[in-house]
Amino acid sequence: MSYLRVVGLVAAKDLRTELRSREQAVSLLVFALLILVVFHFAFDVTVPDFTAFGPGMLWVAFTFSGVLALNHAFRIEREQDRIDGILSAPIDRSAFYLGKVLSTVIFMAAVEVVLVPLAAILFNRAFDGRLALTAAALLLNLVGFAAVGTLFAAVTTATRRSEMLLPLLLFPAAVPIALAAVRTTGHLLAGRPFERFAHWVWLSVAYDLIFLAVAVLLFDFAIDE
Amino acid sequence: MMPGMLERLLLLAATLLIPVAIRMAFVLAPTEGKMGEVQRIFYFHVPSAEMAFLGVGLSALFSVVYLYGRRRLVDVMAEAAAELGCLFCTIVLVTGPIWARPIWGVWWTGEVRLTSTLVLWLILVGYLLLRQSAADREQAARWGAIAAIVGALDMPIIYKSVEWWRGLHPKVLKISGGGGLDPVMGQALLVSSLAFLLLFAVLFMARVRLGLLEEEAESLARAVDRRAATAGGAPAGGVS
Amino acid sequence: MTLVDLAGQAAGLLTGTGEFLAGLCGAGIQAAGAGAATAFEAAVQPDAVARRLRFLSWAYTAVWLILAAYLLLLSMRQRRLERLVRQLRERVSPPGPTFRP
Repeated sequence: MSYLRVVGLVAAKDLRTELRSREQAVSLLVFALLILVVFHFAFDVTVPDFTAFGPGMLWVAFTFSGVLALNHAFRIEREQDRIDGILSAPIDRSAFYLGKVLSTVIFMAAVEVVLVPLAAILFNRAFDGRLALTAAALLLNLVGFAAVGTLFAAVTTATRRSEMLLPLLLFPAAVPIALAAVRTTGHLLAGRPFERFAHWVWLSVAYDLIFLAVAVLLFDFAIDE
Repeated sequence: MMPGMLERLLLLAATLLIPVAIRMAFVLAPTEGKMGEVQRIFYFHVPSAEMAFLGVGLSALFSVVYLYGRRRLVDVMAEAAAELGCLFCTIVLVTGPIWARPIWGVWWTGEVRLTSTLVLWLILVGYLLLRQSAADREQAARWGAIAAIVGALDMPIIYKSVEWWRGLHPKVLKISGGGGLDPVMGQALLVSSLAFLLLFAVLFMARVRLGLLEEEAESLARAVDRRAATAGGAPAGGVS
Repeated sequence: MTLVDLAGQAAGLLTGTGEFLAGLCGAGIQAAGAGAATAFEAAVQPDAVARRLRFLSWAYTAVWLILAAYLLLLSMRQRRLERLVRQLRERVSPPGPTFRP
């Protein structure tokens, strides 16, 4: 079976499961929305300064719901004892990894599509092209988040302290793209020219590529049970 | 026995060099123009940071070697390096604010190097806790290797990103009117760094010895279990 | 040259350094006072110098405490493990002819 086909199949299986029950997407969305609401009360952002607060708030919302998504991605495999099947199957385990990353990114994108407009409404931000670009920039950084997160989640979901361990490992490792996400979306929302934040975009791209490659190399060692 | 000899030599070298470094840092190096005496923290703050980064780098290197050859000794070395890295990182994070407070009036200045060191500390703590949560030695080794390699690769990227995000590190290396680092200050820093490096080496060897002792205890416990199993008796107590 | 000779030389150097340090400590504090007479320091209250020396000593103490704590931890683990290994060794190759677990 070709490599890319395996990747596609793994992601498709997750998506099909999700379409049937819709539990994952709904929980992710609701959780992310709740975080925005908490920010709304915590920082009184109705006085429109979405440009200043928006980037950070959105990233926090995606970070925490992202951790949920990552945990879920492997918990279902372990619950249904599928890990052994994956280990014995004659497929490249890194293909399985990429499939998982793909399905996580798709879930997060789905959440984004709903959440970014909702955030704009909640914080009185106009709907314009800049907002759409903000969503795209967030997605670019979420790829990096999912890349490193999937590798770590494969490991931490096998422990009893997974709720603590995944954030502990992931958040420091994700500092570059967290900063990139916040800066890029901040500049975008403020309407500044691309040259001002181009280096952040290149950083995100580099981070995504580097850590996808590293994780592909290391994933074999993550689920060698 | 060769390892014992090396360890003793390193310990001796450290014992000789540390007083020299202290003397240079506290007496021979000139007082810094703007900050006064408290600037002398620099002579153990900076070398500690160097050792913290050395620790994570070595850990990643040993991790790669481990994943390739799966030799227990290499994994013990990876864990030791990370643990020491964490130790020195703690020193950096404690001395940094103590230095900052009287100079800039705040505990945490949010500047680049200290922030990056905080992230490094979290990475190393994550490494250690992850290993602790593994089911057995082999899993801990494998998982630790992943965390160390990702962490070490990430550090330069983290540093750059924090640098872009913030201003640059304040210049502490000048004395008033000087155009660069005072030569005696430079020498003191060099000697201090060397002293810390020797300290790292000594602690590293002690820690590796401890790790190997742990391995021996585990294999002995397994041997006892096997004997008990064949003899039909109860297994030995668990080794934590 | 035996290890004892080396250790003796190290001890000599240490005491020599210690005396030098003690002698210069007085001079060091004076030097600090002299160093304080920069334009910047003149604008600051005189007890700021004492405060900074206090912070310096805290930092120095902290470094040694952290290192000492770690060494203590290591030696405790070492001792416990050595005891365990001894016990386990006896169980694997017992001294007597019969072995009852």
